[in-house]
Amino acid sequence: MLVGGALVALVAVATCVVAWLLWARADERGRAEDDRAAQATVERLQNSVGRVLTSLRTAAGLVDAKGEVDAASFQAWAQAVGSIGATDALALAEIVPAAERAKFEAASGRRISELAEPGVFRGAGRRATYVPIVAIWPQPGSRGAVLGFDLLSEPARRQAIEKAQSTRRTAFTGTVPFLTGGSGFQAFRPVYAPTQENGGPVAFVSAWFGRRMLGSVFRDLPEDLRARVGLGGTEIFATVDRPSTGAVRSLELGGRRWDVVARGSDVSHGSALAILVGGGVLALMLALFTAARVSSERRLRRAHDAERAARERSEVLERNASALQQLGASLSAAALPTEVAEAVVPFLFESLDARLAIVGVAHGDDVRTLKVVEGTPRDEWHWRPVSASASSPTADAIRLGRVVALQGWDNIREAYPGPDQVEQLLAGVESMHVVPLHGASGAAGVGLDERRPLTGAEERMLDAIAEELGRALDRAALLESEHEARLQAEAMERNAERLAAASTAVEVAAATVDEIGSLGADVVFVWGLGEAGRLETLAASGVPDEIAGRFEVYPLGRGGLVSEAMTGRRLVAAESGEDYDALYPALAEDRRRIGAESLVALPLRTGRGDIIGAIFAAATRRRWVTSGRRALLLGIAEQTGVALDRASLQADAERVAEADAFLALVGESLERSTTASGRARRLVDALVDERATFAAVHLVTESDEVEEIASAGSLPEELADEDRALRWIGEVISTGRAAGADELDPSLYGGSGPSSVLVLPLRARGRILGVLTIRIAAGADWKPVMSRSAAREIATRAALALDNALLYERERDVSHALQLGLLGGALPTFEHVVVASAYRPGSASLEVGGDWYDAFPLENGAIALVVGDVVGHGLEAAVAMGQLRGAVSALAQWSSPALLLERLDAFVETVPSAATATLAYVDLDPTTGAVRYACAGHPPPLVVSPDGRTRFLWDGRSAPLGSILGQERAGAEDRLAEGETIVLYTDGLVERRTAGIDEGLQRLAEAARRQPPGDPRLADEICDALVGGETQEDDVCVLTLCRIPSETMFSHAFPASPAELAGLRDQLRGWLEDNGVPEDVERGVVLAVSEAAANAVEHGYDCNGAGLVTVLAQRMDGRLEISVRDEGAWQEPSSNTDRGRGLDIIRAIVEELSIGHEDGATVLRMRTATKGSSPA
Amino acid sequence: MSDEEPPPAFGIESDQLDGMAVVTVSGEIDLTSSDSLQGSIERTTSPTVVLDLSRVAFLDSSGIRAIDRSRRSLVSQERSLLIVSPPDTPSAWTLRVAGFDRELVVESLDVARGANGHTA
Repeated sequence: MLVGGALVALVAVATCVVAWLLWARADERGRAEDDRAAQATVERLQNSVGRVLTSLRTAAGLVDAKGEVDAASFQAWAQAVGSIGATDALALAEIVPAAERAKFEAASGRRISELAEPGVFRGAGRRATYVPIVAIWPQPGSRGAVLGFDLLSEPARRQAIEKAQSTRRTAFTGTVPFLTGGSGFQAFRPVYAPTQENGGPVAFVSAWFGRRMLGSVFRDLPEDLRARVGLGGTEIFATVDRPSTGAVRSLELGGRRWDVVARGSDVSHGSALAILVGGGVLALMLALFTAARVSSERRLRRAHDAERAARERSEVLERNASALQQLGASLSAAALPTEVAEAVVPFLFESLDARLAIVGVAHGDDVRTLKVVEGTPRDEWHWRPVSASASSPTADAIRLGRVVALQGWDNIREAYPGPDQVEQLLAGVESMHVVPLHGASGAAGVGLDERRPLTGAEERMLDAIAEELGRALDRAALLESEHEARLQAEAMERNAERLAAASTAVEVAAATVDEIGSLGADVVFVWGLGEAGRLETLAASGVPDEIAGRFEVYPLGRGGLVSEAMTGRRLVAAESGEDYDALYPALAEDRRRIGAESLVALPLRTGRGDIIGAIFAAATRRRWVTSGRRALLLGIAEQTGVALDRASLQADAERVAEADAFLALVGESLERSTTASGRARRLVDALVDERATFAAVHLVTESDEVEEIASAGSLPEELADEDRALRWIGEVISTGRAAGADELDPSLYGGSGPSSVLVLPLRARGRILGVLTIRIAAGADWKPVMSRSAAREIATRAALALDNALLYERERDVSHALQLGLLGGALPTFEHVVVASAYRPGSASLEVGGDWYDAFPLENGAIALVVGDVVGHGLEAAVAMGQLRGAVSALAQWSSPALLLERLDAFVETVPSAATATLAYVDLDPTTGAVRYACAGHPPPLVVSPDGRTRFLWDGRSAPLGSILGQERAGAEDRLAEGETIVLYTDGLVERRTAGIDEGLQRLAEAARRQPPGDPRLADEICDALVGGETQEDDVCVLTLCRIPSETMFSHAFPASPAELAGLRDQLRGWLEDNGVPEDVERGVVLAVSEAAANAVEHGYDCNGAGLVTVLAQRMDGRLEISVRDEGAWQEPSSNTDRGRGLDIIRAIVEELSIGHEDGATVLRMRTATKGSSPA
Repeated sequence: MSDEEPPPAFGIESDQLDGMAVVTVSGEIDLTSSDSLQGSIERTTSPTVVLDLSRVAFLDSSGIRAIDRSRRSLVSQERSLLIVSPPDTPSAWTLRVAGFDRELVVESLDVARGANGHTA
């Protein structure tokens, strides 16, 4: 700054100096100029007026010796002087005494006038002397008056003249007006005679100096010259630009002082000014610059200072911040408020060099305080609760909301006497400083071992630590409440999951008990509201059994939390044992025995708001029922209530569904059997399997007797007495109402107490068929697994099914009888051939149709086969068919096929309804295989070879019976080789509306060749293959004959009825003995085959005898190959192990066993050795 | 049809012997007769029931099924069933093949009476 200032000063000074110098110079120049100007003016003056005046002196030469001035010489002189150009006029004036005036006037011719006033002449008065102008140059005009005036009469002139006279020199007048106009001044010089030394002047010469003339004198002066000329104080000339000041000269001219003030051209002080200005500007700039520099420097310095201060501060803060960050990190790791507070302690020691660290955490009514002496290991830190209203540094700080700062051990002790442990802690502490945390959540402070207050930095540090601690405690509290909330949410979720997994009411309750237990309850009960308003325990935990037993059904009348919760329909709680005892003194004993210190009860509600139960929970510690817990319990109760509702609805639904399913199952099962006894059997088996311990079906026979059709399970006590049981059944049948054992008069029916035996009537189509007796089993929860209504439902369905079966049986029996009657019963068996037949009625199912078949021996040992088709259905057709059949078997005895047809032609004439019947007739020699055949309007027989070749017998064809009277019939011959099969059939087999007969024949051949050779089931197979499950309008009839040697093959087909099994066994035994099979093998084979056949009868046809079971056995290479075949969909033996027993037996006997399903039939194949080997 | 003599007819007789019910079966036991067998056994009332199969010519799984059901029914009433089946008879053979519980099978009626004597 100094430099700058000096520089500025220097510059300023220099500028001033230079400016001053320049100014002075300029002044000087100015003065010089003025001087020059003045000089020039003076010179001019001198050159002009001066010369004139000087010239006036030369006028002395004008006087001649006489002392007279000649006018002409004056003129010459005057011209010379006038050429100077400075005078207006020159004049010669004579002095004329008064006496000579007259003469003079006479001589000059002019009067001497007095100038009274300028321009005004008067005649001259009497004067002493007159000075009249004798000559004047320039010659005036004719103004004569100018010449004749008296200059002395004019005072100003007079004075000058007198002065001139007296001084003998030139004398000026002052400014006088001129006679010619204008004004100026006049100079007089006396002229003397040359010889005259004294005396007066002879004349005066005078020069007139008019202003204008003077002005023109000075006109040559340079233009830039300004001058002022004064004469005797009177200004006689000035330039236009009058100088007020300037160079002053004075000179004497004509005895008068002339003053000249002249100014030259102005000398500009511009440079000085410029310098001044420039310098000033420079100086200013410098000054500004300096000032700026100075101020910026100052600012810079201030900035530097500030920066430095800030840096220092930030360093301090950083140090503190890193400490605080560590503190913050350690605080955020801690979760419990006490953990959080403990984390602060090391920082208090570190940052504040304290001896004692003090932290307090507000906890409800208490302040938990921790005081730690430096160096104490962590596990010796003890938190002590202190009442918030007590006097302690932390409590005070929190309560009062301000810092507690004390110096001096005595002061501290006085303020906080405290117990002795405190004294120990406080030993060595000389000052204490505790600050409260914001929000009164706690306090933090230190005890120092010096008696001094905290420094500012220390205070700030402690504040910062306190702030961190406060924040961390807030966080911890938040986390805790979040944690609580999360725990609650988790608990709710968990509970919801558990409840979702629970399906029964008991499971739901158990899940809830677990959940509430996991929340910290020591005793939990869940009751369900059952019938008659009883709260029955569904699940419980945490109570000894004897107490649990007393609350099995909650005694609502006794009052208590649960009663209140139920009636008030809200959560009721007691937060402490005393509170509870006060409310329910009668139950205090129980509470004490359980050890509950906080208890809560709340009702369970369905989604619709109905109460369906209650929850009770208790904990052995107080204040377990916090508001958070209440909310959670309410939430759990809501979930549980809904779940219970769901479970019970589900249980109901399940029961209903189960009942439905069971009914469906039973229904299905019943469907599979077509006999009443079969269905009854299935029914009781199904019931005993799952729902009952005993079931029996009794039906009323045609003779009005009650007969047991099927029973299963163990006979209940109530039915042990047969008579009583029958009376019971009779009662039910006659009243038509179901009766349980408990609904009957004990005296009549015996028994006592509630019983689950039920006798239900089987009612269908308005009549009672019989009864179903059940003893319903008890379920896991001791409730019956089936309700009575379900039992009734079952009885209803069963009744219908049984009635249907009975009806069907009857009808089937009728049709069977009719059919058998018409068809003449079963086919005979022949040696060396296997004959089989199949008959499928048309869609008019039970009505007998017009198809028939027959096979009978001829007297010549041949076998005759015939298949025929009488037109139409119904009785007429049946009768015609019967007659025709009879006629055939009679007429065939001694006829060839062709002859037979001819005879039949004649026969049908007498039986018109048999006319147009078609017929195929074959006779076969079983030993040679020779075949004769004829077809009357009937499809051709088919021959199938073992290797699968098929051929139709197209020869021997002619028209239907009776169609062409007297026509000769043709026959044909063929041969059936061993193993070949011939197939006769009716057109229903091969004729379809949608396809031609060729296709049908094709399919027939296909079906036939698929069967193994000698398959006695061929007829059925063919029927199945071609008509299968279709409902066909036409009857279908198939008759097959296979030519096989029967020694190595056993073939037996029988209706699927249990009664046939004995016959099968006999036949088999016979064949086995014929084939030399040893007895022990025979025993096994017979048992195995019987089992297999029994299975086929049972499963394939359900004992209704409507289908065929075929047993084939072949002996080859010391083995027996046996197959048992039925056309039913044999189920694999289900879970019922009884049914599998048969298979087990077979497996134990034979070497190989396989069960296959072929073309809708089930075939069981066995292989065993014929040599004796004991079965396994 | 075979010319052999028809198999012995199926028959059941119930009797009492030493406080035991004795059910004697003759003929063939198969599907046709197993139900009757079961019914007969279940209609008894004494604590011990003896089923005499000495005269049985044929026994198959349906018979065993009926016997087993009867046994279960008796057991649920805390009664017992004994089966008399002399070795080498058809019934013994089938029982063995079927793996029927050997403990229940005794050789003769006398043995059955003796066993009953022990348990009485």
